[in-house]
Amino acid sequence: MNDRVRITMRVEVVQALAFSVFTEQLDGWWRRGKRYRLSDDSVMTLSPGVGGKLTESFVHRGKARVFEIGVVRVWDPPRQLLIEWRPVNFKERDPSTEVEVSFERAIGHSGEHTLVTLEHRGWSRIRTDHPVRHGQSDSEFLASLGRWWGDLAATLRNRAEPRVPNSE
Amino acid sequence: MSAGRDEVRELDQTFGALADPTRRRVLELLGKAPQRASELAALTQASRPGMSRHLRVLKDAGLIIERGDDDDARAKVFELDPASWSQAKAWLQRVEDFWSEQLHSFKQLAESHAQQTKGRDVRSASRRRE
Repeated sequence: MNDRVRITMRVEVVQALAFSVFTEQLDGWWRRGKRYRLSDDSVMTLSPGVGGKLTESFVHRGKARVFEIGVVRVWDPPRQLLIEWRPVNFKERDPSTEVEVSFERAIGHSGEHTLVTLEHRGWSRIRTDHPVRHGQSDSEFLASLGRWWGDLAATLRNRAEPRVPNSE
Repeated sequence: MSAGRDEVRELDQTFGALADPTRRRVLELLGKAPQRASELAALTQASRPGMSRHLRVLKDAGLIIERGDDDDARAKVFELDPASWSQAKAWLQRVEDFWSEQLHSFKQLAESHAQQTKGRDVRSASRRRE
């Protein structure tokens, strides 16, 4: 057990196209529904470059709302992208998790393709001394819960694997 | 990263149990080694009755379990419940499912672009041949 998830997917496009669709057309592939967005008719945007923001924007009760979900920490097109992932109810001083996406060029029988690997890590960094929030939506609740579980996971890991200090 | 209603309720109880700093400290201590209630009270500077209440909340939330002390038949030892470990694992599984679904969606969009580009190439190549 560790505090990260890692997924690799083969995408049948060249590396540059994979990177540009991922970053420039984020709203096009980011799924809709409660599980993925705060609002079904929102727009997801990723501003290019280090310091660029990953945001979700929508109109709520006539007011435009913009939620910052992450900040770009590494921008290395077309190879790599690192986003500091800070779900909606994170405060500035809260440690956040990280999402790293790498785009690896590969050649197979069918020609060039790209291996896209996404790693979401850092759940165990999150401190537990965070106030409980009320009236959260499912997604907000679960976003904050991730931090609590992450910390608990770290505690349990330390106990479960006492001879393997931080194997990750 | 959504969960069923019952699951959210169950997690809500856990969340409430974790809301108190003393209880979180207890979990940290139990993460290192099983402890008696009296030791936990001393280590967290809580009163004995206060510690009993905290331990009950943690037990009800399914975070810790109580067992007899091998060295002292009258004493109870508290330790982390391995089941809460699997809940933490379940959380990470949910994160993994979330990204897996997102990446499938990304793959579809990216590959549809490649198809369009190929289609254009074929069309322009055939025009050139004409």
